[in-house]
Amino acid sequence: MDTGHYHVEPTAGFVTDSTPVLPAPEDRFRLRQYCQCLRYWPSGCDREPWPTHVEDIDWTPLPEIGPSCGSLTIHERLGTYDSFSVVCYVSNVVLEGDELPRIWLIGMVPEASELSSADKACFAGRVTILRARLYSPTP
Amino acid sequence: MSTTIEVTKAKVLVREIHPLFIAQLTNAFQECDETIQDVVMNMVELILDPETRPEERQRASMTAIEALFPGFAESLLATEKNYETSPSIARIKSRMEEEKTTFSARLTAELQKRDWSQEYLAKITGVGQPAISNMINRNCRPQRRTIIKIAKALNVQPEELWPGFHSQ
Repeated sequence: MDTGHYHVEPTAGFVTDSTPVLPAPEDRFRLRQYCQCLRYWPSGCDREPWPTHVEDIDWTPLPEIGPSCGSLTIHERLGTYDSFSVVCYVSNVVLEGDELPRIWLIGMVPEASELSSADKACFAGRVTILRARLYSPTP
Repeated sequence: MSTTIEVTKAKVLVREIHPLFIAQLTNAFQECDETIQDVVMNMVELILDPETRPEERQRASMTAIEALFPGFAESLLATEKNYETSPSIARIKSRMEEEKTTFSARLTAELQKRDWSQEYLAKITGVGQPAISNMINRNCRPQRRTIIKIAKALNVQPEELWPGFHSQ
């Protein structure tokens, strides 16, 4: 998985969200594989206008969570669900030891639907943790 | 009345929560910088809000744990990564690759048969040309709805493009 312009990485929050929804590790793996298409987004796209035409994806910007955040909707049947919203945080900063910047999978909810304000607050918290631990003081 | 309830709740907490855990929690909170402490407090507010749904409460709890105990988050990720070395996931990985390869070859053949360009297919399906190029180059796994759109445009059945389309 070294090709592309970004590394697509799950966070612990994404794992804890997806485990009760998709108890089989195989299904969680499939879900992460679908998210891997974001690797080919052109470099430097961490905000509007999002390059949604580049991949076969359904992307909703989530400025309430952060300017570089959006939700990737996966319309696939995995486990007992038909679709999933994966919340992502796009960073264009290359971390020490990395070759590419990262798109982080912050969390997920089953069945593509509008996120509740509690979910948005929770995902915003996860982005804050990530930025404070890995990207502080930039970007 | 409300004070009585609060005292009862406190007694239950003291009985049920191990003192060492309270100490670890307090210590972890104090070691966090202000930004992280704010996140923890916001999550506590969400957890205590009676209108928060159970799954939202669960998400908020895990976020607070991630904030307070970074080591826990790391070990969780390591465990998840370990699954990827299992034979069952290796089989899935190889099957997913095969599916992409077959789809790419079949789509390329269908386009050649009709003398259609990727641009033309993009235009009639409403899928971006770069997305089609990425599918043909096996960089991207198409979603079911896209396979259906492309199959319709080519006037073929989805399973003629994607192996085992209906069994998935």
